[in-house]
Amino acid sequence: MTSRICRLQVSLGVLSVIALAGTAVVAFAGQPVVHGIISQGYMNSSDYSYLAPTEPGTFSYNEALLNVSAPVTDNIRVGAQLMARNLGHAGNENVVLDWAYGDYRFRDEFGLRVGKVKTPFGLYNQTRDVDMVRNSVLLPQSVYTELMRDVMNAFEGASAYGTLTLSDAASLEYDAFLGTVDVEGPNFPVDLMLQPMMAQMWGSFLPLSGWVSEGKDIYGGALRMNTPLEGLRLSGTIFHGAMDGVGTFAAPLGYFTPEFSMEANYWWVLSAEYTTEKLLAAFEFNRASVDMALRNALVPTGLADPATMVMDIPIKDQRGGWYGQATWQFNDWFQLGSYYSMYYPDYTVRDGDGFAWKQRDLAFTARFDLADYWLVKAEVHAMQGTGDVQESLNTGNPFTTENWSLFAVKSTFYF
Amino acid sequence: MKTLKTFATGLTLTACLLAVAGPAAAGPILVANSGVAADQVAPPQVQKIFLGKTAQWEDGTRIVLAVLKSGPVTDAFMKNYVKKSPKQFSTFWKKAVFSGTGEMPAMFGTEAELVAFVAKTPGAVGFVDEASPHDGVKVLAVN
Repeated sequence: MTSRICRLQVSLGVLSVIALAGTAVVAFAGQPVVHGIISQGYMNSSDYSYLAPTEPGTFSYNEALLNVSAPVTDNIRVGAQLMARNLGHAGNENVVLDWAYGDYRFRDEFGLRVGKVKTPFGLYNQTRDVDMVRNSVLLPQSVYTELMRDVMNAFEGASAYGTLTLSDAASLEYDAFLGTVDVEGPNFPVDLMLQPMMAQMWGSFLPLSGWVSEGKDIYGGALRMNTPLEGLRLSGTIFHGAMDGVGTFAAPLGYFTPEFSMEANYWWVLSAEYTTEKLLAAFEFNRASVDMALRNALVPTGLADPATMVMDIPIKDQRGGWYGQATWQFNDWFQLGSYYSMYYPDYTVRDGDGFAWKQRDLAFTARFDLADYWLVKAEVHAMQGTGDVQESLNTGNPFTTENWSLFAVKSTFYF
Repeated sequence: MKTLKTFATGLTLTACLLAVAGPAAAGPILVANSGVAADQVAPPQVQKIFLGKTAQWEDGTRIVLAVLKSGPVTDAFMKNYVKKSPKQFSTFWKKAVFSGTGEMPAMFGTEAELVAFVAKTPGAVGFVDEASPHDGVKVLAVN
């Protein structure tokens, strides 16, 4: 609790300093500007709980963001954003610093961002928490998985960026970044990842406590091309990142001290987006090679040497998938869309027994902009397979149903 | 005599058309703070400016964007120069704001408010209908 309060104090302090800095230089720069989002969602699924206790239904799905930014000089800008979120086990409405950095834009072709920066990944990773910029409630999980959010959300370090003009109608934007993965402990749904491993080892689910995560190095790059064909944008992103952590599982005989490490050797995504006045069509394809390792020491109560009971579990995660999406803007307040998303926990396995080797998601989405600062979205998902369904959210519920459904609705206020 | 008759007929027809059409909408023009050194901007450059890809004038002054919230002038400017609908333009800048990569342009409900802002803000650039008053600001040729 103390660390949460400290983190909140630091975050508020950063925002205050930025606001004061902006005020101090208002005579030759710009006023600090504040924007925010408050959203509340509800999800309900038919056979399995997905991402949160969605079966029989949950309101444990919300976000609040508040940011302030200000130009300090003609080519330096500073800003920061606080976020609190809740998605089942993740977030728990702890206030965290979502991003905070100084941006020095030397010229259009070269700029530098230093601080905590959102990780460029695909078309929508940097705005994954911003409901107003998309049609759907849930981003396609085949690419924007919530389980890996903390490895891919933001990093502490630096990013070089710029826009290169190729012709009157085409340009190339780039990002090259280097830093440390920012892992916010409360945001990382570690129990969803670890508990199936623990259950595999010990045959039952155990409560996890005292988890401490630590981010490791991350580096990568992104290229985005605005093509001569008006409205067509192509992009590619790749990164390497790692994190580890340690926690405690309470057990009848004593306790376990799992040490977990995860290293994305590579994770890449190729993207295409085409927009006209009414239409948005997007396609993204991604693959990852992630090495995970769980070293588990059983510490029996009353015994001195736990080392004799250490177990190691290496796990090779080769997730991959793709989706295609289209939306149509009927008028200023109404938009319909659909996406078809395929996720493979192991992209080398394209067929298999049972339902766990894939998860198909056919979604139909609707967005209603009810006022300038308020929107409501609703969607239904026809799911096939359980490749992305977490066992720890479905204890005592054997995966016997291949086809299931999910309903989500979300209200978002913003300014 | 015939010339006078033709002139009178033309004048009458023109007056009738003006009465039916109401105030003329001549199309958007680019207006900038009088301190901006540039006199003209190429059409592709207009798009880059309003999408934040070009953030400074050639002399290094920060570009401050001023945008009309809605209306036919906004529709025409966005379609012809920015290549986005007003809603797409708004979404584009919301992405920038909440990922930290940019700042929302100043939004105005009337052309008079926009012109007043551009006139007093160094580096500011916006658009208004050519027929609306725009004293105190500089008109940038787009070619």
